[in-house]
Amino acid sequence: MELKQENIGGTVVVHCLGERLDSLVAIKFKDEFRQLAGEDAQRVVLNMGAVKFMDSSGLGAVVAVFKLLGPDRVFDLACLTPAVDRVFRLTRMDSVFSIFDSVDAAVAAPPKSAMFI
Amino acid sequence: MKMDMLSIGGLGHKQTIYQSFCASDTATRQALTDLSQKLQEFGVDSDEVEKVETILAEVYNNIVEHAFSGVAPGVVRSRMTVVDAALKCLVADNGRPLPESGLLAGNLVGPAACRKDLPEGGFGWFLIRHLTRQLYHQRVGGTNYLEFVIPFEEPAKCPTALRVRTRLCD
Repeated sequence: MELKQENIGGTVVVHCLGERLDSLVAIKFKDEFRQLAGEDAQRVVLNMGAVKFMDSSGLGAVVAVFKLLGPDRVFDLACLTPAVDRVFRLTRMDSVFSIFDSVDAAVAAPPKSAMFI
Repeated sequence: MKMDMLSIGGLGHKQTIYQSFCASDTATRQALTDLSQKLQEFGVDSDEVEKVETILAEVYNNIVEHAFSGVAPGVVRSRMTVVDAALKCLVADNGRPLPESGLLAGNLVGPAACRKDLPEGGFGWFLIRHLTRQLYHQRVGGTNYLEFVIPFEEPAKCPTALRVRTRLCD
C-alpha cells in the first residue's frame, strides 16, 4: 500500500494510493503511516478514496495507527468507498471515527474525536 | 480412496466456482480477485460481489493465519454455487484443527471504549458470522470443512453487541 503525505493548513493528510488494504499490506501500511504522520501535527486525516477493498486486517491496521497517534491527536477518515464503508459500519467502528465525505470537509471541520476517545 | 466432500454436489451446476490455491497472503488476494470476476460474469450484483469478497477474504485469511500458522503452507480449496439468490460455500483446508474457541463471535466495540483499548483484531469472525447463515464446521480425516450460505441481501444491522456475543449458533 503506497501512501502519500500532504500538509493542509497544519493538518497532515495521508492519502492511500493502493486499491486494497488487506492482510498482504497491513503491516507495511502501519509502518509507512507512522512515518508520514510525524509527531507534530495535532490532526491527521486518512484519505481512503482510492481503497476499493479492506479486510479485517486492514481495519485492524487503521485502528492500530489511530492508537499509535496517542490520546491527544485527532484522527479522522475521509472518502470511504462503499465496500470499505460497509466494513466500518458492520463492525461498528464507524462510531469510533469521524468520517467525512471529502478531505476538504475533514480539514475544515472542528476537531471532535479527541474529546471522546 | 478417501471421500472428499468438495467433490460431492455442485458438479454439473452451471454457476459453480472451484478454487484451489496455496495458503499464502499473495495467493489469497489473487483468489479473491478471480472470485469477484467470476461472480460478475455470472451476473451477480456488484454490492453482493463485494460482500462475498469480504466474507471469503476473512475465511481464507483465517486459514492462512491460523490453520497453517507455524506449519508448511498447504492448500485451500473451495466450492461456491449460486443457488436461489444465495451463494452456498464449502471451504476446505488440511491445516491444523480449528480450536474449541473456533467459530468465535468476534469483536465489537462498546460505546465507552477508550482509544487505547480498541481491538485491532477479531473483526474477521464477526463479519463472517454476521454476513453468513448456516455456518457449520467439521473436521473429517485431517481436513477442516467450513460450510456456510451467503444470502444475497443486506442483513439488518445487529441491534446490540450483546446479541452477537450470546448467539453463537443460528
